[in-house]
Amino acid sequence: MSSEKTSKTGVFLKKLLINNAVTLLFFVICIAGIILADQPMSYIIGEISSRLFRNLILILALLVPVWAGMGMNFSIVLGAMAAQIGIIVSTNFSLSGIACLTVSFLVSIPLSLLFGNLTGRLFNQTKGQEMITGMILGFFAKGIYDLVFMFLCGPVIPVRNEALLLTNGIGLTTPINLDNATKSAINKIWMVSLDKAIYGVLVLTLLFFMAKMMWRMIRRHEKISRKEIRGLLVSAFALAMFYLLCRSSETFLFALSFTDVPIVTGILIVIVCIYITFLSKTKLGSDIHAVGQSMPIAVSMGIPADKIRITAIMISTLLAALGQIIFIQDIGNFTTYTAHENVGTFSIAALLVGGASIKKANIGHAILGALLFHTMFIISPLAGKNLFDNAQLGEYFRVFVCYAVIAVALALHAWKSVMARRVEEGEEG
Amino acid sequence: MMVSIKNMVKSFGFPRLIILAFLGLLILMMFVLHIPVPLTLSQCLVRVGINLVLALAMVPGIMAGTGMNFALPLGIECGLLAGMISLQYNMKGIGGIFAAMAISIPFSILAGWAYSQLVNRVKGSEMMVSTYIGFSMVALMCIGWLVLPFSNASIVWPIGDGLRTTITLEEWYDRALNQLFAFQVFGVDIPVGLILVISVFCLIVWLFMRSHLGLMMKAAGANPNFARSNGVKVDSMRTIATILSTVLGGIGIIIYAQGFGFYQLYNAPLMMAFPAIAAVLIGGATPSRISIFHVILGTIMFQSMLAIATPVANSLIPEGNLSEVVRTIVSNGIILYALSRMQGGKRS
Repeated sequence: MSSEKTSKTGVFLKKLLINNAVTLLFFVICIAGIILADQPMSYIIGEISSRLFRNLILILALLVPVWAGMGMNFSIVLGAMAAQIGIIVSTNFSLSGIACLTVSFLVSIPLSLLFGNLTGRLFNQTKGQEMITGMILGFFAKGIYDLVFMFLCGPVIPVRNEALLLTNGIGLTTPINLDNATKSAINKIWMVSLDKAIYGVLVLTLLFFMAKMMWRMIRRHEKISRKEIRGLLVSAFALAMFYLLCRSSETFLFALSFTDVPIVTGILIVIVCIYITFLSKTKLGSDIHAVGQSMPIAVSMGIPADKIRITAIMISTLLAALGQIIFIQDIGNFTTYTAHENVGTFSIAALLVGGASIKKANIGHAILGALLFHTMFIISPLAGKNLFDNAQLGEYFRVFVCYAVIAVALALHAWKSVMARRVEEGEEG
Repeated sequence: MMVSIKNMVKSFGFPRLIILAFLGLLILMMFVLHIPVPLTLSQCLVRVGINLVLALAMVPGIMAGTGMNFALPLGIECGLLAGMISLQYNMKGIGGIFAAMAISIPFSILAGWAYSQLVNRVKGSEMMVSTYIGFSMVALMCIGWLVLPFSNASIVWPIGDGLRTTITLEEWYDRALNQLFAFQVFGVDIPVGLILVISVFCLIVWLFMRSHLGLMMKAAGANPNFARSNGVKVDSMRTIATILSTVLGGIGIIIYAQGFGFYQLYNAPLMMAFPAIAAVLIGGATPSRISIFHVILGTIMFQSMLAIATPVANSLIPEGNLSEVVRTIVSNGIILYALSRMQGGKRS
């Protein structure tokens, strides 16, 4: 009996290790890097939290196309471009503050929907090769973007704000700086120190579960399911643990209270999460999942697969535009011609590090991936400097890791599907 | 009549027509803007010559059904490594170039073999996987250029670690092939040595395509199941094709560097697969069909377009790099077009 049990746990552990190899490896790299980098905890926590808030929507934008079976959407680059065009337009009319960002987003909505629609149509022509198409499309779009803003702005497209133009009047300057009122405008609305924010989130979760239970018990006279009790217990436990942790470690508490987090940005991220979760429960969401499972079956069920795929890409591109606006307002400027280049690669690498695959991705993967990936991003130059006395080495290392993670994830997925196909063929033969 | 024209356009391909028209426009502009024609033509010849072998590296992959080799940077890094070794030991002149090529071959075979093992396990997704294999090799070699024990003072940074980003070849074999037997016709420099060397490589690949091995490879690419039932080892054909492609990539970058006058290290090879792929596609190749003619025609069209676009763009708009933008749009546009023509994408 017992040996059978241990072998079962052994199999379970083995599966866990194999399925989460990338995530676990990253965990090790991050911890080793943090030790090697030898930085104060407040610095590391501060950097990670600001990067998390800056990048999370861009990573979340990738989820819907994965569900639709289109793989990682490399063409979120186009959404980022739409956002930058929006910011260029509102800077052109000398808007500032929240108004500037709102107008930027409003401008980027139709643009990103249009780009998404066209991308989706192209992807329907290249089924099975969406990822490579998306990547090349990103490069192609960069060419068009450069043509428009490097050469047509000024001579052909009138630009009102002369600060935007280069001195000879042809093309936009780089980088484009947001003015002081616009820089971090969304972040600055409401900043709270991280320890308070975590307390807030934990208490809110606890209250949410309690309210849900009360409502079920009193209004609907239903029995309480185990799942709900577990949710309640877990959140209460997390709250208690966090309290103890803060009490026991001075440096930890100091690091947290030293870090300010932007609440409004956080709320936006939560809204995007809720939207995505809600979406997967609607008719459209179930259609998206059906198309992702098997396109022929979906079509035979009367689902317009091509349309659903286009919609998935449009949602993704729109979210990417929102994400890029959040990103740029946080940084305060963007390099006009290159800011969008790495959006796709970095977001995809982060999502994959979180344990997602080409076929399966959820919000948890996105958050965990953002945490691990950006930890690696911050610490690797520092660790490289301490270890080899060469920060450049760490920078090359993180670029390598970023590409390698994508290569490994893609190769693993392709290998698995080839094996699956072989098994199927074997059964048929 | 209309139908036959339509058919002709269809078989020739709409984007190729656009590129041809654009090329015509550029040539017209060249005369209108009084750009010195012989100089531009010399430029064209050199650019076609130094890029041809890189484009040739696409042939084996497409033949064997692994598609366009987006992992060309893998071969390029092997070539660069060999080039660095040749510089380290001060191999000069034509001999230095051929020595570098010879040194690159074992590296390329090793890297190509290792990479082919992966390619054979990811059938159907080769292009995406190979792109990122190429990218990650470039990033890995960035670390390599920093830590490898090169010591020749002319190629390492005077202060700090590692090799220089750009290494001018004046001391070793700057344009040695271009200048070999070179002569002038109406002011146009004819780089005879370069043309000879690339012709030899074209001939080798052409002969290979017609050899027994080449035909088996073609069969494996055209219909793997049929080929397998006829006793062709599809996987080993794909392995050989990948190794060949990597070797050609390694040799290609050495020819490129000598004609260009520099070795560019670090991130320079990152995007080098794309112009080569674009060139063969412009020449009429598809992701599953290619001939030497496609390679030559495509490289001539694409590279001379770029060579003419540079002076034309500079005299129109001196600031900014218009020809670079044109290159981005054209090369990626043609790849997108080719992908969308694949009809369903996957070949069984």
